[in-house]
This record gives sequence, C-alpha cells and structure tokens, in this order.
Amino acid sequence: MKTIASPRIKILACLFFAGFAVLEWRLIHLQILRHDELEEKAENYRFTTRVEQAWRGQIQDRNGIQLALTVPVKNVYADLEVWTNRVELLAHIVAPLLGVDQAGLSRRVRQSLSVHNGPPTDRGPGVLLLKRGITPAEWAPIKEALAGETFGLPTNHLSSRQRTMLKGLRRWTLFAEDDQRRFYPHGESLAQALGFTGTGTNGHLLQGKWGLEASLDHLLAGENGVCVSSQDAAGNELAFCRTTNVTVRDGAHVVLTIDLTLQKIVEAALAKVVARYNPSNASCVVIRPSTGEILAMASLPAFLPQQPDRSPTATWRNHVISDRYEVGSVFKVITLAAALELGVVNLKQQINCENGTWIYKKSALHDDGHRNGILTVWECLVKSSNIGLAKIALLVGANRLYDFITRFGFDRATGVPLPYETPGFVRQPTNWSAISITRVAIGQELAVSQLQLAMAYAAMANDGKLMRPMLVRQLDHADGTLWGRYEPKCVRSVVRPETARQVREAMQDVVELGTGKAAALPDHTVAGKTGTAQKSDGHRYVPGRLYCSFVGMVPAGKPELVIAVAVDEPKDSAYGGVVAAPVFREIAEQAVILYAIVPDKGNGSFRPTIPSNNPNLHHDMIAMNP
Amino acid sequence: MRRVAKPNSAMKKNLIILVLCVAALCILGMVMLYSTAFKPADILRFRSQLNCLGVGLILVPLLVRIDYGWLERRPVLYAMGAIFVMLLIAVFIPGAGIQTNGANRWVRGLGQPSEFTKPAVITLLAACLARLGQGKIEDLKKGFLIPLLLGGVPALLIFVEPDWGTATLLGTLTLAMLLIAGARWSHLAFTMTGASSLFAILVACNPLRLQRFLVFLNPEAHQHGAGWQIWQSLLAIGSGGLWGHFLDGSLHKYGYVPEQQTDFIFARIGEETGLWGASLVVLLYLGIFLCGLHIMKGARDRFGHFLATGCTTVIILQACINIAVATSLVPNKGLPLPFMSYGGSSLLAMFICVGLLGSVAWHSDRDQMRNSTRSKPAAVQLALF
Repeated sequence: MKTIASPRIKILACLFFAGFAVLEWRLIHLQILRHDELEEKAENYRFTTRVEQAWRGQIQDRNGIQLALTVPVKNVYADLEVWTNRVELLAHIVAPLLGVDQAGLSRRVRQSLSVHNGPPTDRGPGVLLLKRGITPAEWAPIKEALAGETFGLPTNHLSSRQRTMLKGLRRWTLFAEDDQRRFYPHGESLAQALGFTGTGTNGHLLQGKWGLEASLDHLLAGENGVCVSSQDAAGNELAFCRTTNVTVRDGAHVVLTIDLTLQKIVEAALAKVVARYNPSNASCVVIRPSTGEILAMASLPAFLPQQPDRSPTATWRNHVISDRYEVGSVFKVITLAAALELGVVNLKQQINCENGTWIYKKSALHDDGHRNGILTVWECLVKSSNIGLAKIALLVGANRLYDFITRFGFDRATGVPLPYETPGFVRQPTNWSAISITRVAIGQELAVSQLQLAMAYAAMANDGKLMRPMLVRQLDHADGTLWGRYEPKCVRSVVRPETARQVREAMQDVVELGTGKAAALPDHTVAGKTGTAQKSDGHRYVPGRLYCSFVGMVPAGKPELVIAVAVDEPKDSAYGGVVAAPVFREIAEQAVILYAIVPDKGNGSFRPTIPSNNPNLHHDMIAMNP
Repeated sequence: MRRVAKPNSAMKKNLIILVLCVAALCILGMVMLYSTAFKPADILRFRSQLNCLGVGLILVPLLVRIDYGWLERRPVLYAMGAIFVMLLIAVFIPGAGIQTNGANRWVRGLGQPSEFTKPAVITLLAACLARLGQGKIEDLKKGFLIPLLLGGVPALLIFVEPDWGTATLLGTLTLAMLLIAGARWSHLAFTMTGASSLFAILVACNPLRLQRFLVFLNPEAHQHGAGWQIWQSLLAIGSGGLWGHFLDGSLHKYGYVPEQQTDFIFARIGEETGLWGASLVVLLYLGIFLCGLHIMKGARDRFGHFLATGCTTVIILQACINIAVATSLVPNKGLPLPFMSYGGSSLLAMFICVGLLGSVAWHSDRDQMRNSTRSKPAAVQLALF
C-alpha cells in the first residue's frame, strides 16, 4: 500500500521530542536541583512578621504622681524614590514645613541619593530619616499641607499619569512612623534614681539605660506583640499560617516608695548647701525605719533625664548607693551598739580618754580639738571621742566587732533595685593589722555606702531590726489594676530593742549637747550623729578633703524618719556638725509637718516654723496642722 | 447496503489513548482551576469552564463521527475563510469588538476569534496543500506563496490586535505544515529568516519592549518590575519540589503569579503536584503527540494527513511554548495551555482540533475512501446517526 505520509514527519517528530526533553530537563532543574533555593526565596516573599510595639509603663511616686511617662511621637521620613529628579522643588516645599534649612535638607537628600546611585535596582533608592520625635500635633498640619500641595503641577486638567504622580508625591514626599518618647515632668528631681532611656537595641523602641529605667526595664518594657505568618501578594495575612502569635502586653506601671514632695524638700535643702559650700557633691536619703521604705533619695549636682548627654556623666552617678566612703565618726554608733549589745560596757562606765593623745601599739590616736580626761561611755559618743570608742572596740574584740558590722549589713549590697550599687568594703579580721580595730571602731579602714549606713541607723531606729530597703512599692498592670505589692522585709534582728533605745538616747544627747546641735528641732526630739572624715587618696589622708555627714532620726523616742545627709568635699568650713547637720534640720522640720509627726518636746506651745512661702509643700498639708 | 464507517483496531487504540490524555488534562485543569478559586468571581469562572467542558463532551464525539471530508469542499472553505477574516476584522470595530488591556481580542458574544482561527487556518491550509500535486508544491507561486498567504493573513491580523503569541503560533504552524507538505528548503529558510528579522526589528526598535522581551534570561534581576510574573512562576514551580505541596499546602497561589488561571496555570501544577505532576502533564501531551503522529501516518488521504498534522502541531506547539514560558525558557508569549487554562474560546478551539484529529482517525479506512470519493455533507451525516 502506498503511504501518503510525508517523510518529513520524522523531522517534525524529532523537533518535538527534543522540545519535550528540554522541558523535562528544565522541570528537573527547577524542582529538584534548584528546589531549596527557590523554596527559600518564595518563602521570603510570603513570610511576614508584624510587631506591635508595647507601650512603656509609667514610674510614679507613692502618691501616684507621674515621674516618668511615655508620649507618642512621630519620626518623619522621606521616600527618596519620589525625590529623585526633583530634590530642589521638594526641599523648597518641605523645609518650611519641617522648620529646617532648605540648603541643608537638599544636600542631605542628594547625599543619600548618590549613595544609591549604583546599578539601578527595582527596589528604589530607599528612605531617609528627616526628623525625629515630633509630636502628632506637629505632624498633622504637615500632612495636611502636603495633601493640598500641587507640587508645581497645573491645578486642573491633569492627565491620568499626572494624577497618579501627584497622588504619589502627596503620599510619599514625607511620611511618618510611630515612635515613643520618655518624658520626665519633674526635670532633675530624682534624676539619678530614675535614670533614663535610650533607643532600644532589644526590639523595643525605648530601652532603659540607667537607674530604675535600666534595672526595672524588664517590667517597664512589657512584651511586644509578634505575629509571624504568611501573606498573599497584596500583603493580606493568610488564614491558618501563623507560626508565632504573641499578643502585645504593655509595660507595667511602677509605683515607687519615693514621696515626691519630700524629695523636692530634700533637693531644695541640698541645693542650698551646694550653693553655700560648693562641694563636689551632696547627697541625702530619707528612710522610714519601720518598713525600710526609701522616701527620698537625692544627689546633687543632677542632670535632666530628658537629655542626659547634655550633662557630664559624673552627674549621672547616684552617690547614695554607688559611692563608698570611710565615713568616720558616724560609724562610732555601730561600735557602741555592739558593745552595749554584748554587755561589755554600760553607758555610765568610765573610759580614760588620755587627754587627747593615746599611743596604742606604737601608733598615735588623737581626739580632734578636745582634751578629754575621764569620760563616761555616754560622753564618749556625745563628744565623739576617737580614743574612747577605740578603747570600747578593744573591749568588744575584733571578731565580735566584725560580726556586728556584717550583721548591720556593711559587707554586702543592700539589694535596693538600682544598678551599680556598691557592696562596701570591709576586710576580714584576719587581714586586720594590730591597730585596725581602733580605726574600724571610728569608721576608718572600711568603706561603706550612704545607704548601708542609713539602713543601719534605721535598724537602730526600728528597735534593732534591720530592714531591706524598699524603693518599689507596687506594680500595676498597664490597665491600672494591681499586679503586686512589695511587703517590707526584715533582714535580721541585729540588736535588742533595749540596746537600740540606749543608743538612740545617747544620740539624742549628741544633738542636744554634743557635736550635732545644729540638727536640733524646736518641737521634736532628734537623735543623730555627725561625721567628719578625711578622704584618702589610696595611700594616706589628704588634708582639706573632707567628707561631712550627718545621720539622724526624728523623733528620738520612736523614730519615724531616718535622714542621712552627706556633703563631699565642702570648699570651706569642715565639720559634719556645721555643714551637714543644718541640712538635716531643714529637711526634718518640713518633713515632720508633711508626715504630721506629733511634737514630743517642749511645753506644748507648738508653732509650725515652716517658711510660709515654701512652694514644695502643699497648702492643704500645712493647713492640717493648726 | 451502506457500510458504517469504523476505524481499524490500531486507529481505535490511538483514538482511545488520545481521548484519555485529553480527558486527564481537562480534569487536572479543572482541579487546578478550583484550587485557585477564592472569590465568588473565581467560582463563576470555574462554572463557566465546566460549561465549556460539557459542550466539549458533545462536540468532540460529534466531530469524530462526522466525516472530515466535507470540509474539503470549496464552498465550505471559501465561507470559512470569509467568516474568519470578517471576525478578525470585527475585533477592531468599536461596538462589536471589546478592548481589554489595550488589545482588541474579543468579539461581543463570540469569544476570541483568534482562538477559533487556529482550526480554521489548519483546515484551509490542509485543503490547499492536499489539492496540490506532489510536484506543484515546489512551485513558488502556487505551492508556497498561496499557502503562506492563507496562514499569513490571519496571523498578520492577529499580530496587529496585538496578540503576538497567537500570531507567532500561527506563523510557525503554517511553516510546519509547509514543511510536512514538502516545500522547498530554500523557500522555508527564506521565509523564516524574513519573518524572524522583521520580528527582531520590531522588538529591538522599542527599548522597553526589548527589555520585557529579554526578561526571561534573568527574571530574578527584574523581580520587582517586568520579571515579576515569570519569577513568581519559577518560585512556585521550584518550591513544588518532587512531590508538590498539594492543594491545601501551596501558598504561592495567593496572588503572587498573575494570570495563574490562564496562561500560567502550569505554575499551579508545578507547585501543587511537584515534579511528578508536572512530568505527568508533559507525558500526557507527549501521548497526544504520539497518537497524532500515528493518526497522521494512517490518514486515508492527503487532506486528512495535513489536517492531522496541523491539529497535532497546534496543540503540542502551544503546550510546549506555554510550559517553556512558565519555566522561563522563552520570552513571555501569552498563550494558554491547551485543555487546562481557563478560557472558553481556547478550550473549544482545542476541542475542535481534537475532534478533527479524531475524525481523521475514525475515517482512516482507505477502502471506504475508494467507495465514496466525495463524503456527504455534515447535515446528512448527522441525520444518518
């Protein structure tokens, strides 16, 4: 049979077979050899991570006054794609809106554009941050002005292409993204304790860098909402594709034990002493002995937490907790308490004070200014006799003295929730030299922080019970409901109540008769101790560099406040009784009114002695006291 | 006694395999179309495709049983030629034609004439070539230029719609049929060089067009611009791997590949059924091609031979180009995948091609041809069923 089929069918068949082979090879190439690469790139398109920024919590004082809060701000960016080819025109429009220099703006844009002037990509030249942290109220008129701007295009009869261009220009010439800014309404108040925040490197917009902001960052920051999912090409999330889904949890509000009213009283008093004596710094901490709550904590000179970088970093330092000093005479109270607790002396016992100079183990110890003969233990404290206290310490013995020092908490950090707290410096008795005990007894050869000292005094005021210092009173959820409350915590009972009472009585006479007369209040009994310590440069004591301090409590019978004042290196005049004790008085005489502490001195003819024009006191609080 | 036309057993086998391959492709196509149906509009599309499939179920057996010989009659051919030239011109007439995406491809109520032009051009060419004697094909005027015009005029009309893909397809188809018919190599080479250089000039004179044309060489570099569609198609196919993600696991169908129900349905197949599924599709087209080859060889006359050649070529060529576009082997053409892509006109046109192919297979008995050199008109044949 004659076939009608063309012989050229074979050519056609071969061509198509080759085509099929190429297609199959291509499929294997794409789906097996390049599978992993293409799968990953496909997922990059689909993958979407949305982050909802948690709102940083507030810091409040004990009365709910806001000390640090977060405000919404906008960061303004320029989409460089629409700026290309029309930098001058847009800079001319935008510069007055943003209130920046037009030439500088166009130069910045040009620079960013030239950076991207490499090989052209489909992605476009990116964005440029033009202005940080403007308020939403400032942004609204800018946005409005741009929405009505014509960008040099004719006002009517636009072609569809021009309309699209105008729309793009109005939308993307400037655009804003949400940001958060920390606001500290009370300026320098409590600056070192509050600390400050910086730009977050942990996924949050704000991150605590100093003070409470840093130490409580995990509570204040909250938890960002994160949603990891897949999206369609238009950017809509797909159903059932979420691999991570964390709901946003705003940061907690932290309520401090600080009383802002008292804090401002303290700061005003310190400011006065700073103005008068020009010390390198002055600090004060006020504690409620029954609970260990810190009511005020101030260091001067301070800084503005809003702009910490405008002040020297030295002003950031919280001298109450971060510095350790050889505190000198204020430490004698600890020695006395140990001796009384152990019963090695009683207050009436007589000590020979060697007329002011005592050679012990070939080393001379002096009493400054006085030539005391025989003194009672009581008088040793009142007159602040170095020789007397050294002899008492010898009766106590090195090991037992060290034991009391540690029981008062001088060998470790107090645990206040602030960063960079010093643990103090106390050597083991095995490392003490032969005369060390006589020096430790009067507050030398050991270094303690002001807070440690104040807490030890508070233990004396609290019938011998050492409390853990409290700075945070409670935590609230972001919606304002209570999350948790911190309870006062007793660390240990250091001395018997009787011992504590005896020490307080002795300290009361320090104020009434001895070195601390300047601290006395007209209507309230005060117990306290002055201290004037020479500062060493590491090898020997440097004359003229003094650390003046006063730690006192009011009222002496049943103390409700312990106030520790320290003035570091006052420029002239030099005694704790002269420099620091008046500060105590100034704080205490306002504090007794603030807390309505009942007068326990005098004949009942009580008159408030508050300067009537003190702006730091609420009028209603003054009115409460007739 | 009238003999009822019946294929011999070998042809019967070819026919069965052909129909099975086409059915499998149609079903897979419907599954893929359903897989991309998210919106109510998509469901409507799915239903209209189902309707066309139903029409095909009647149309294909009908065409298979009707003797293709009646198409060879001159009045039929002239009428067909006239109607299609009118339809192809009608797309440009405002009111009758519908403009979509800047192209005139639709006639109101009649679908895309360019799709139906494919079987029409095949029929005309086959009839023309069949009439030429073995020697006349080498004659430049009668044997080459006239068939070239038959294919070239519709191709030109479609080219200006513009639908470069279909035009190229028709041109290639014409050349392929001329090749089979035994045209001179010099004629073929001259025409091909001329057509491709004209095409190259048209592309090269417009840089934007040139860039879009050459995007297939490196779609990743243009993934945010002109290469988006191709690159997303590659990502979809590549992420399918060996086994695919199946219908519920594939995520790249959510808007990433534009035209994934029509021209880029192969991206769906690649992602959801993996290499196995994609290879199956290629294999099914190969099956159609092999059946087509056998039917060509076993055709009872030259007209049937050329008709079968044309139909096979147009189906396979279109499928190969479509898959090559989806896998970025050739520039983006915009051709649908036969039997799978959404589109009523395309599906029906392909069914007509399959029907003609089947008809050639069914009526391959040469004894019958000797008995009746002139087959009866279609209406008479229908009445005889």
